[in-house]
Amino acid sequence: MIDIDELVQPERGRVNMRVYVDEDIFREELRRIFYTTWVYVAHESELRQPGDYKTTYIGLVPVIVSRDAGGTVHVLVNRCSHRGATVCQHESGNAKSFRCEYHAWTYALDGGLIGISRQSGYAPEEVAEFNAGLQAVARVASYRGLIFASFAADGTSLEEHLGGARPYLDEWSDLSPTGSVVLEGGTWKHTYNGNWKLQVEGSNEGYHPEFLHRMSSAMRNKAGSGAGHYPWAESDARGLDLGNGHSIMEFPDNRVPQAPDYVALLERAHGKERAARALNGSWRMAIFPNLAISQANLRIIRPLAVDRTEVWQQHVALPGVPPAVNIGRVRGDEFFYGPSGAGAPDDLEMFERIQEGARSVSNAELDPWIWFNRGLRGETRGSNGERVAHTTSEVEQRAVYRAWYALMNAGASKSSIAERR
Amino acid sequence: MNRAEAEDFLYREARMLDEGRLADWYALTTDDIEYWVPINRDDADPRQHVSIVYDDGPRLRARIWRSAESGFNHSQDPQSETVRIVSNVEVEPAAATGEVTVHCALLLCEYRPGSARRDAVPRTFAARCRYRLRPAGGDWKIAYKKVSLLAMDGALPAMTFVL
Repeated sequence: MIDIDELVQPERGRVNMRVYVDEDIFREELRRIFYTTWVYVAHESELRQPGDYKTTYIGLVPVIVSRDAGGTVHVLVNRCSHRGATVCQHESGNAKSFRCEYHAWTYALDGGLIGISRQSGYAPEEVAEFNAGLQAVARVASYRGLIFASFAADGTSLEEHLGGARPYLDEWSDLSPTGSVVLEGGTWKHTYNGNWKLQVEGSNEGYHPEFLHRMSSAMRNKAGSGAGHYPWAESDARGLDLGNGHSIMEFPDNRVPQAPDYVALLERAHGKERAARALNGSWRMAIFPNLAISQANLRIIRPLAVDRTEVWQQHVALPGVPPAVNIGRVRGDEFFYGPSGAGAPDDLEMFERIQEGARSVSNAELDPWIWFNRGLRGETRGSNGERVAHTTSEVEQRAVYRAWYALMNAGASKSSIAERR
Repeated sequence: MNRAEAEDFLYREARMLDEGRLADWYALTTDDIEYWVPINRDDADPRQHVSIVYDDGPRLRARIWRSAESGFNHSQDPQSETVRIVSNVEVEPAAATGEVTVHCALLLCEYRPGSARRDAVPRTFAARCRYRLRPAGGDWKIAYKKVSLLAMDGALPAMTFVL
C-alpha cells in the first residue's frame, strides 16, 4: 500500500526516504509523472533539417524525435508494431524512414507504416488487427526551441505547465542576438547509482556549494581564472518555487563581466532592456521532472531504475556572437562539469551516498524522514504567487516535492493505488 | 627515441600515477603542456567543444593540487587505487624540433579500497593515448598527452583520478 501522505509532507518539508528505494513507488512515478506530465525531449537546434532525428527516452519508453518533410516534429515510440524491436539505433542522424531490421517493416518520419515485407502473405483482416505505425506520443509542443512531449491526450498546455519558468527561458534564448541558443559544443553523459530525484533536487541546491564545492573556487583561483569565492549565504541569491515542480536559484548580484562587443550586439538585436535582462546575473533552473538549465548547459535526467540514473549534460552555444564568447563559455562550463570536472563528480558522489543511506528504510523501526524544511517559515510570495526565499533555504527542493505530492495524488484515490499492486 | 626507450618512459609514468606521486608526474610535464581527454571521436576543436579534461599547465596544477593537497576531493574519499597496463607502443620519427610522438594503448583498472559501499567493484577503462615528448636535459618531458577513452562518448562515472 502506497500512502502518499506517509511519503511526502510538503507542509513540514520532510520526505520519507522510501521514495528513493521503493520499486513500487518508482513504477507509480513512471505512470503518474513521466507518462502523464510534459517531459523534455529535444531542442530544435538538434532537428534543423527535414529527416533529422534524435532518440531519447520518456521514463523507460524509448522514443524517436523526428522532423518530417513538411517540418513537423513528431515524438514516436521507438518500437516496431510487429514484434516490438526498436527501429532506430542511433543517438541522432538524418533518415528518410525507419526500418525494423527483423522483418523489414518500414515507417515514415511521422511514424506511419509504409512498408510490410511480403505483404501478400497477410490477409487484409490480419493487417487490420495491428496498430499500423509507430505509436505517437499524444502531445508535442515547444517553447523557445525546447520540445516537450506528453503521453496524456488532455491536460494543461505546455505554456501553462511552464508557467513562471517562461520568462527565464526567454532570457536564456535572448543570450544570442538571434533569439535562439543551440545545443552544440559537446555532451557529457554520467550515470550514478541513485534515484532520479536526487539529480532533480540537486540541480539548483543553494545550500551545498559553500561546503561541497568549496575547493572548486580555490581551484579556479589556482588555475588563474578566479572569480573568487561567491558568498552564498551572505549574498542576495534567491530561490523561487515557480510552480508545477519548477524552481530556480538566481544570483542577481553575481554580475559576470561580459565583452563589450557582445553586449553591444545583444542591445542592437533585442534593445537595451531585454539585453540587460538576459545578461543580468546568473541562474540555474530545474524544470520538473527531467530538465535543468543554466546559461551554459542543459541537463536531461533519465531514470533507468529506482536506484540508477543517467544524466546527459549538453553544452549550450550562442550563434551570432564573437568566437571568444563561445570559447569562454566552453572553458567555464568544462571547469566545473563533466566526469572529471572540479564540481560535478562531488555531486554524483553525494547522490550515491544518499542512496546508500536510504537503504536503511528497509528497517521500519528507524526514522525514515529526511528534511527539506530549512527556511520554510521564511517563505514569502512573489508577484505571481511564486514562493520566494533565500537560495540556501531549500525552497527549490520543496518545489520538487510539492509537485511530486500533487501528481502522485492526482486522479486516483490511495486505495486504487493499493489495489493495482 | 626508440621503442624500448619510449616503453621505459611510459612505464615509469604509469607507475608514478599508480603510486599517486602526482607532484613527480607534474614535474614530468612541460610548462606549455596540453593534456586532453576528449569526449567525442571527431577531434572537435577542444577550445570550442567541451572535453572530459582539457588542461593547460595552470589548470593541471590546480587539478593536482586538489587531488594531492587540498584534502577535499570528495569523490576520491576513499581514494582510488589504479593499475595501468601500457601496451602497443609505437614511436614516430623525431620532428625537426627533436620532439617525438608516441602512441600506446592503455588499460586502467580502478578500485576504491576501504569504501563503505560494499558493492564497489573494480572498474576498467580502455584508452588509446598519444604523447608528444620533448627532449629535456637527457630525459623527456610530456608536452602533449591525449587520452582517448574507448567509451568517451558513453555514460561515464565520476573519474577524478588522473588518467
